[in-house]
Amino acid sequence: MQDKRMLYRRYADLLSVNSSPELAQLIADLDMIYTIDEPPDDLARNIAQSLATHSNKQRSATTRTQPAKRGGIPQTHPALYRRKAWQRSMSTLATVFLTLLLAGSLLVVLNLIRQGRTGGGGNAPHPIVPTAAAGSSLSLNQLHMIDSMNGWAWAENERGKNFTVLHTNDGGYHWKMVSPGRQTFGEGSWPYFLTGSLAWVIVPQTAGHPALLFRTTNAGQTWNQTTLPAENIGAASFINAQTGWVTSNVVMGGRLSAVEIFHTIDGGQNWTRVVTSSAANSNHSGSLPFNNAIFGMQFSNETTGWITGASNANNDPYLYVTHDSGHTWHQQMLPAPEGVPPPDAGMVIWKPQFFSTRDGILPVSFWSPSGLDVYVTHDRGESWQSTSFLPVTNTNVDMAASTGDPMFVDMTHGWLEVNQAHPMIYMTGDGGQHWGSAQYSLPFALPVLDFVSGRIGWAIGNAGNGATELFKTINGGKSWMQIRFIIS
Amino acid sequence: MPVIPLESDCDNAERDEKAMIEAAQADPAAFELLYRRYLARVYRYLRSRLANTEDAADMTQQVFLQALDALPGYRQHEEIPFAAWLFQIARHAVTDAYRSRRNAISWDSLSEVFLPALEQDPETIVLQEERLARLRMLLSKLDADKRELLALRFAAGLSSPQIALVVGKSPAAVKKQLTRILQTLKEQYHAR
Repeated sequence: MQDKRMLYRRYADLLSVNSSPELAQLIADLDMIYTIDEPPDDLARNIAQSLATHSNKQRSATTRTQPAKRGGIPQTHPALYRRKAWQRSMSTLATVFLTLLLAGSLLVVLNLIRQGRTGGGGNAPHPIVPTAAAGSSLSLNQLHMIDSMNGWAWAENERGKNFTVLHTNDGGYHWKMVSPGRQTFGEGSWPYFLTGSLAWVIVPQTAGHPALLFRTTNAGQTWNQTTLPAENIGAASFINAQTGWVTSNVVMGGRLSAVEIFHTIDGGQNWTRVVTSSAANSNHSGSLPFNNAIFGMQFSNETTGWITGASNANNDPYLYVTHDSGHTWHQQMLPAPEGVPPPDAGMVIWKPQFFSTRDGILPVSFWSPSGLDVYVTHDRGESWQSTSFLPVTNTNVDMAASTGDPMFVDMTHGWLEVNQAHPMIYMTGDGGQHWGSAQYSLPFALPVLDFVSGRIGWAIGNAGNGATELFKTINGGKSWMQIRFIIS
Repeated sequence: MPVIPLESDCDNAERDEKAMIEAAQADPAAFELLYRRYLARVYRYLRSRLANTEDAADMTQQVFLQALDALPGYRQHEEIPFAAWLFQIARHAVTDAYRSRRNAISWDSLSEVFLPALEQDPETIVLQEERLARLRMLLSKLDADKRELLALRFAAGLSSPQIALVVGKSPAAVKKQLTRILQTLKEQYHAR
């Protein structure tokens, strides 16, 4: 505060015209020190979102929090109780969190996320999910939040045989069943969520019959149904309501013999086969070599997209790009990870994710040495650069990759959960250049993580009795509060 | 001709705040006006009491959530001023955090001050920065209760009577203690 009159007015109880210049200087300097900090740019918005969510919760009679004593200091907020318990359990790690970075998740569980976002990962069957608690009719299975308030969930019934689409517009406190006609989708169905209003559900039919595609463009208020061009749909990528691609797994003699890619530009009314990937035509220029372990398909616009998967016997990366809507494909190479000996046992390349037309990330899990490297591009995916190698290994014996697919919300903030002796969350705040980890006890097991910003995220956790619970964080995963949601 | 007294800025501010409180008590959505009014002050107070900006931001959110919960029970005509009531919540949250993290490193931390290079020569800036760094060092050596009083006065912008309500002392005692702290600091600060 450089204005002396303002200083004397503001601190009239401490300063007067008779005060010494030394005291005035001290108070001016104290004022500068104590008021130099401005709230972070996103704090007001985050608080508004939290308060809006909390207001909605307050309106719900079933979730009313304990009122404060009249005029006195209110009881500690329920969120703080949870935070305190959480933090006490990891007090020695508290300072680690301050610089820490990121989380990942069991591959099986992350497959659920990946399938939710990409429309499934190659040949993986429908998700293996925790069973619902007896007595509860629906259990959350996948989350895809669009922002702090709006999002989708995929829920299963008690037996895990039927699924339904849920939608929230209050940050997860209330979920509305929005499946067409409130019907459930059968075993093997899976969703693809793109925006707050756009979603698809792929529904397999009995053997020999093509799968069905349900699409909503208004957050589930109405759906239309079309027929897909094939039976076994493995992955999907939509860029808007009209344009998308699906892969079809062609099985002959009980073995995957080819992968076909179909393209639609009219919302799924008509599909065109753009390429067939099989051992027979893998050597043709522009063809897509056959791979029985495709892990992702992602298009960034009407013409450019990527297919990724496990590397071949020569450890070549399975990373192919198309610039003509999928008709021809070209392999992209990746530099070796920084700071470690060249991996010699192959890799799994997850789907790329773009946060602008030029900037995107490409997570890659290596087997030996075991770990993750998040490659980045700043030239629309023309080239990819290593960031750093995170040496981690999942201990699950049935993993298809050494680590799961990390969750990124922008070019800087990402999380990776690794299941070792205890679940660990790795976090990065600089796009994978540095990762921090904390071997702390999550308030739940086998979480499905879903973030919408560097601070706000949700997790579906296994309560231990088979039931799933929903948690929310507003501090990037340092602490979690349980959301007692209602499905209607 | 009658003289109509002009309302002071202070009167206007108080009237506005009462209206904001009543609106928020009737509709939680109207709480936005209140939290935006106090956001910077709460954040600065918590920033001066906690180790880093992230913790301060987190706790700022928690404080306003608690305040929203408790607002229906707040009676502005009978109880303490809203600012004191709000900073009671903030102080309570800090105390809780200290208690739960007592094994952690000291949380009291004040941001480095980098002076804008406006109309000042580089030497003056360097001298000021050195002076402020020295003041930060002196502040770090104060007892926690003294640092809290300073934080409530300078970061939260509370008056001595309001601080008295927050910390549960008499206004005279707070004023006296603040004066003593400043006197001691001044002597140390300007000692050569």
